[in-house]
Amino acid sequence: MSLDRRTVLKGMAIGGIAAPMLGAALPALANGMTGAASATDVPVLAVVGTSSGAAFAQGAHAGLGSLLQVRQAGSDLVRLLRELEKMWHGDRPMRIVGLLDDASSAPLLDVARSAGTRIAWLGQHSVQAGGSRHRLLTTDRVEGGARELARQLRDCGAGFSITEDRQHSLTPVFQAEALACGSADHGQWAAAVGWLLARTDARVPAPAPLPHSGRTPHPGSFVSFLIEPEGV
Amino acid sequence: MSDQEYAVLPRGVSQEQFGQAIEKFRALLGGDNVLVQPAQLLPYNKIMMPVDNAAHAPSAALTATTVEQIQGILKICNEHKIPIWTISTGRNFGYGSAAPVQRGQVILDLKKMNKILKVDPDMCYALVEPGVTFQQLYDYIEDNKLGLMLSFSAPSAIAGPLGNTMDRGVGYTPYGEHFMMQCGMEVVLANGDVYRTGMGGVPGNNTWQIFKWGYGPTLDGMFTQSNYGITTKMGFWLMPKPPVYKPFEVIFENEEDIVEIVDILRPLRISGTIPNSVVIANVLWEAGSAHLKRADYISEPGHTPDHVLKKMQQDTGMGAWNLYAALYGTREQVDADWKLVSEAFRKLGKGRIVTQEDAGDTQPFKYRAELMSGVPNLQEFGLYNWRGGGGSMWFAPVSEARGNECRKQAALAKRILHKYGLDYVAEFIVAPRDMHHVIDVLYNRTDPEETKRADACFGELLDEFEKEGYAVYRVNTRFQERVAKSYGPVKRDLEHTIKRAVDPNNILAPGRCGIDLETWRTS
Repeated sequence: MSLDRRTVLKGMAIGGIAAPMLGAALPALANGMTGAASATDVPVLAVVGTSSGAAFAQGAHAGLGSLLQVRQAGSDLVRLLRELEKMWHGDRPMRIVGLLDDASSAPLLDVARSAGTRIAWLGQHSVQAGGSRHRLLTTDRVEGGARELARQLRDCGAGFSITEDRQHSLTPVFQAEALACGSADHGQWAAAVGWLLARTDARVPAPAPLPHSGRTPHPGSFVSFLIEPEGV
Repeated sequence: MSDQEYAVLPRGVSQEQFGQAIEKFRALLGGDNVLVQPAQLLPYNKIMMPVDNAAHAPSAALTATTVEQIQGILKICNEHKIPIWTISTGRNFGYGSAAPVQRGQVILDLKKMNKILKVDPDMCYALVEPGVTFQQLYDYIEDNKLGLMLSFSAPSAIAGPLGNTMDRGVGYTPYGEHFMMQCGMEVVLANGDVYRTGMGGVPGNNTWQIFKWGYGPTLDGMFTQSNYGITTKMGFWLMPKPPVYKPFEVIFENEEDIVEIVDILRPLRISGTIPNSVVIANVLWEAGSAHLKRADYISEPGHTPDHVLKKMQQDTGMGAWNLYAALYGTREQVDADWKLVSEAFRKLGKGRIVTQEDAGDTQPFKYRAELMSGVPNLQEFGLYNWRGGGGSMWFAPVSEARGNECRKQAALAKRILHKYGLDYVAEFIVAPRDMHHVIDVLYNRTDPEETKRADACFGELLDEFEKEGYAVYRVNTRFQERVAKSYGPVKRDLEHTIKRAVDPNNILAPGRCGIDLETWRTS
């Protein structure tokens, strides 16, 4: 199977925003590796659903450690939205990362917009037994994030395709795809996304979550996001 | 003047012009209310349509809090020919979300104009601003124990009455035809004039929310599904909460039953025996609303075959069609009506009646019962999990409330959807004489091939329905120009004549419902 494996990367230079190397993490992470100050290491709330949420939270935790709080979305969506609205309008709004199903994310993202938040990353993920598809709408706040996700998925042999649209750009700024290898770990994607989003602006170095060989992927459709209150 | 480069510009507007306009907006509204950063605009650009987000990317978003600010914004827009796309809460999901119809339009988000101006419990009406949500109004009514009932669309809790009514949306109570219950609007015209419809122009008058028609031409309807003004206040009637409320469901096993369901229902609706906007949901609408997922039943791509649907029916007890209705009134009234209704269905010899007592808190009965009694919830978002992938377009042709017509429409839609490998996920919302046949075209936006198929499918639905003399009553922004064509050139000529008269600079949402001075009759 590994002989069939191929990777195609295209469109990387569109708009002149390509990173110089595939292994580069987010710019903020690069700063972190040089030991920059930790002034922006603010608490982050991870909002997750049940399916694939655990892997996402695990990845986010690997990225942020004790700065991460986790809120299970649960079945009472109205209650969750009320809690978040209250927080966004309160004195100490937090940065929120999350991975939810389509049903929960649709109203949550709309309420976030009305609360005046910023959204730097919006990912639509579709996962099946053979691999995953990721359609991302991003801003330069998460520059390099799609590339890093591709690198991590490639490292664990997962089959995937990623298309990254940049807010304000007419064409995709990054596209990558790969076929799965024999020992593919398709369950890694959620942990990788959690790690990436939690690490935005983090200043303390943290290793990427290790691939968990044999982790069973949760098939289905998911939405990831990075929501920041105005002014953070 | 700003020296910032803007990546997205309105059609025909230069960097310099746009920069000048943005500076004026900042002076008028304050910098916090002029959004131009990508992370501020991305939330407005989440769409569910089968096109790239870029096609509907805004160039900026503004938030206003007063009518005077809106007048100021329009003055600037006229000066610099800036097109503006107004939203109230922007919760239009399968009809286009908050994103503008054309790339580069500036969004005017009225979310901060969210005052409940008046709720009169004696005359049973409310007057609200655009940003008021149904949940906000529901909480107000409950907190103040006003004994009134709301009617709203399914995304109830987070959507709002003004936006829904201006788009001629419907709900599920006896007041479910929302535009019919609207009474009195305040509209800011493109030239800055503030126009009040009905009795609203008479100084000191107290019947603005009581009597719709006023004197002379009645223009309220002209401002719905259009781009002739910005509605800043709207009045609407509220139903008194009845002493007795009896929701019920009738479950039918076979697709063909739709003919008899509708024909037995029509006289009950026209006579007012069943007073509310009844829903007849098919098995997949029902399944999605109960948060079932397609992947739980089948992994093969394409449409879900009928034998799988039958299996779902057997597993869950759902019907091929599931009728939800309710009775309202005193105990005596409800008992008398229930006798008529239950007798009618018993005489038919088909259909399993489920009452509140039978259903308890099971879904989807629970959320349907809540919607029909004006209690907001978010249950129906479960539809987005049925197939997953974030794609949704509501295809909503109008049908006669006649059984064979509904069967014909259902069969036609199903055939076309299946041809494109998509599911027929549908409900009929039943008025006395018409039905809104709402089909949620669900697809996976992460799959480029499926996205293309969904786009072609929607186009074919429009084409084939039009050949049969059908048309939709509302559509997402991707297809608004296409649907406008269905209604003929005379209507469109008149609409553009009005547009030229009330908005000669074409600044208000050009392209909305196909009304755009720049493209009409110019090619």
